[in-house]
Amino acid sequence: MIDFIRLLVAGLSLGSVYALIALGFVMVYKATGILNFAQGGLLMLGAYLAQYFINGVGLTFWFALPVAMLVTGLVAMLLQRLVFDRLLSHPAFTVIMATWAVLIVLEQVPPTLFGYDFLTMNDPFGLNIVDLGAVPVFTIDLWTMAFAGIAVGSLAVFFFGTRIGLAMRATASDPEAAIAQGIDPRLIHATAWFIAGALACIAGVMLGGGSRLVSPELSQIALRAIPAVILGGLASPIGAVVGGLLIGIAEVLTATWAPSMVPWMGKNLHLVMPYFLLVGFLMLRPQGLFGKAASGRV
Amino acid sequence: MSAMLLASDISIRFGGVQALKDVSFDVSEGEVFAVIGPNGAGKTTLFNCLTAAYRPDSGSITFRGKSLNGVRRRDLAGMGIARTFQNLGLFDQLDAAENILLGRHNAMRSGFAAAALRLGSARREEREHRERVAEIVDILGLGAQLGVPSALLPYGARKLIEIGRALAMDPTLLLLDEPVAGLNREETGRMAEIISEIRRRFSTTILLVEHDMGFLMRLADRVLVLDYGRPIALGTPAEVQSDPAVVAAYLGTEGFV
Repeated sequence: MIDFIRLLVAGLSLGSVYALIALGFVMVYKATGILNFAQGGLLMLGAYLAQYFINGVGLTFWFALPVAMLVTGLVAMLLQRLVFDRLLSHPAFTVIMATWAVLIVLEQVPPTLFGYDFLTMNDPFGLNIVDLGAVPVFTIDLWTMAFAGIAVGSLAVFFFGTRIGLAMRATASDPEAAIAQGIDPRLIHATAWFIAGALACIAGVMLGGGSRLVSPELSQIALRAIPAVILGGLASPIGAVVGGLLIGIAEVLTATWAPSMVPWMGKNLHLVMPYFLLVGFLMLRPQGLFGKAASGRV
Repeated sequence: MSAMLLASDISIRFGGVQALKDVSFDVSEGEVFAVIGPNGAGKTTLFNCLTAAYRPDSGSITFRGKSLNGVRRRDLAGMGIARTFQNLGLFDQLDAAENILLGRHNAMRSGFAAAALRLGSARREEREHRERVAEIVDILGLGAQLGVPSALLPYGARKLIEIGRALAMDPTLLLLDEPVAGLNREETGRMAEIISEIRRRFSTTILLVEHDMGFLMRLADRVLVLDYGRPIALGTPAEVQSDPAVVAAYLGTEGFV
């Protein structure tokens, strides 16, 4: 039982990261109709920036994180303004390929600036362990869940309690009618990209902190959040969170149980587990858990 | 009364189709002006020109002396021009009050950051806007429908919400695209009452595109009749109704009384 709770905490922590990344995908998709594969590049950039603000500039972690979120968000806004807003009238496939190209460019920026060596985040969590009842768990796992919870809560307040949030929901619902209310679509797009960038930064920092390291490999992890997005439904923020948590738990449980239960599947079944779920969902319920059937562009 | 909206010699062609040819008219301050015509007459094209969705090939449209040529669609709200959509442009997941509140988007002064951070002044402003929304909900009699996503409401209620949203903009010119299309007789009567009420209370200038002539008879001050993109008559409802060209254009068409 104790083992299971430990696994559950680890799974929920990983799942929280996937949820943050998936929320970034959903934000941009709902506001602009773009499926943004460059999200992984933003995640990695965010982690490297936080690392730099801590180790290079000497800020404390609690100051470096918001600054890194701000900068990553601004970079995302810049991408929207310079590249993606100019491609809005193009076919979905063209835009997706452009996000892929931007990903490949983004992935090269941090190593060029900070080197190809693996770096430590020097966060306050490190390998610290805290006792949850009688169950020892990593401190960073609890903080990861807390950050994800705060992020989701803030977004809920933003979307349901502010004028811009209302305008964003309106634009996602009917862009043409939103324009007739005087809502500037570029402002909505910029906000969505900024949020996606800031969320990616939190995810990157939590993935590169604790027992793990900041490395170019971080970018790949964002791709594993895509199954979470499909699972939850591409246009559903709640689905992104639920899908992220489910994928995280599935991955951790597979990593622990599969080697003994199905040894002939090898040791890395957990790495492909999210994609098994992805393919399964695409075949059985393509609109996701919370999505509505049939939508326009991908 | 001076001309608020002035259209002179508007022409627009799509490929081989001359959608509008030399259409001219003026709408006076406080007037209810209707554009009618059989299907394919160019009503929707004209509406799209007035809402900056299309740009005429030639001719000009001026609103209070300012040319609409080169104006972006999202700037219309700021100029005091509100519109509704023929096939409804409601935000389906939002309820009546939220939809109507969005009509106040342009009137909200507090900046982006203040709104996001929910600063005191922004909150106070929002409360004022919500009061205005409540007043509009009251005028339209939508009180019982609050809290329900608009997609789940009857079509007539959805049409009213859209009018309410346009009204929330405090427009000087209200453009209605087929306000009674798809409504039953009772709902059509209600819509006519609402439009008269809007005019009486706010003296809003209204331009509406419609093909229900009976509905317009009671409502419009003047009517412009289009046929195959060309203006064939302009005058009071009684005048155009007895115009031989209009009768010919409508011959055998139902809905023309």
